[in-house]
Amino acid sequence: MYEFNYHRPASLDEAKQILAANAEAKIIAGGMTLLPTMKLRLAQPSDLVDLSAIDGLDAISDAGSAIDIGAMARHADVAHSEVVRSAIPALADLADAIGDAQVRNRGTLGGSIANSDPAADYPAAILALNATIRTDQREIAADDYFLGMFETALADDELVVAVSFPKPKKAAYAKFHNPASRYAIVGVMVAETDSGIRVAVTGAGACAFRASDFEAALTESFSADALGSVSIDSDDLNSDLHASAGYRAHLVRVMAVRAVKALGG
Amino acid sequence: MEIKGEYQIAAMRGVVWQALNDPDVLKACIPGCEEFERAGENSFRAKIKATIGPVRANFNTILSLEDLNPPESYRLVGESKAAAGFGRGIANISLVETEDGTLLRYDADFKVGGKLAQVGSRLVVGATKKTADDFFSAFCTSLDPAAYRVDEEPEAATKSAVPKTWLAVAAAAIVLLIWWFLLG
Repeated sequence: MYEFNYHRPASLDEAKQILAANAEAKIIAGGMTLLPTMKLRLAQPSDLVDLSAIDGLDAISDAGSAIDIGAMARHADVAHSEVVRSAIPALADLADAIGDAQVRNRGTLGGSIANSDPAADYPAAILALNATIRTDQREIAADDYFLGMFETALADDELVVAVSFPKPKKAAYAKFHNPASRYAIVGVMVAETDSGIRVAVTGAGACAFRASDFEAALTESFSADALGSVSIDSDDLNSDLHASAGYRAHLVRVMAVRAVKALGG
Repeated sequence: MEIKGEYQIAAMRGVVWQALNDPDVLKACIPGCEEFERAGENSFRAKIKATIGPVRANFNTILSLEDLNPPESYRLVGESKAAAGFGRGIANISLVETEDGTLLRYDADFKVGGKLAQVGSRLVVGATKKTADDFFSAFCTSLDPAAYRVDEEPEAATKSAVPKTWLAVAAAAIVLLIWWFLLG
């Protein structure tokens, strides 16, 4: 690797000062995307600001009607948390199926959603569960957060602190994964929440999105059969060597049906 | 990999054509473009800082315009090289006069190689489309604030006539984008 300055601040304020003083500085959480990118020289930040020493940033707690998960909570922490498992088992299952064991032991919730890879798993849960993203500056609603490919509502100097996931009445996540990377070729989370049925899709488009036709069909009748007549337009879906846009459109329905069946529909 | 698109611009074809050949306009519309200069009668040299997700890379790109048929069509050929890989692309750009102005059409074919292709094949098409979209919307908006993508819902947009030059610019931008990705 080439040279860079490594910082491990003990507080968010200190982290922000370092970021403000170095225009080419980059935040590192688990580094599961950033480190491979740096090794390939596809990114050469002057400074890395490691958030792992900041107290409490990886906390997981039951806040009554919601589960609060700190930005630095590792995927393995979420997968093995009794608090998460008992309130939102679908979220623990989702975390347990991200990448491989090495990625789950390093990768973090905050890193995943700040990066907003089109094939990341967590964004489906953020949207389906109607989560709130808490940053060092404000709270962002799930529906306002994902803007495009690797593009979020976060400002350049904004840090994710925690995510609050309201407890759903029921929820399930089904994904068709790439057998090598375990990235979602298509992943769908179906949830019944206080604000109604929500269906969120990841892996298929530039970023995670809600499938409103699916939501309407399931609101009318929560059953796999109700999804027989709805489909998703493939025009804006991703096409790559793993799957064509048309195939991804097909997979969206198949995954949605699997999630609904897992919920007894 | 192939990508294509269409934009309706409320500007006359001649105006669009000129804009597509104006280094200042192109520089302003290409995301991350730090330098853009004429290298020859029909060629440009550009330095572009591409930022896509975790990737931040500087691309040195040479663009040349071929088969010029002003103000109707041309072919944009681009090549970018960087430590992380290389890219080559060809875009065919055409400007069609319509009642409301100019219809800019492009279709591009590009190849990416090196490390960038190794790690980025999953993302190259999406990233290139996004870059092309960013470029064209900036280009078209600079000529006509009401310009719109033809494949999107047009009711909110007023049709406008943009010169074909703009189309050429857009095509060039696309090529640049492709190169960036390749060089990554």
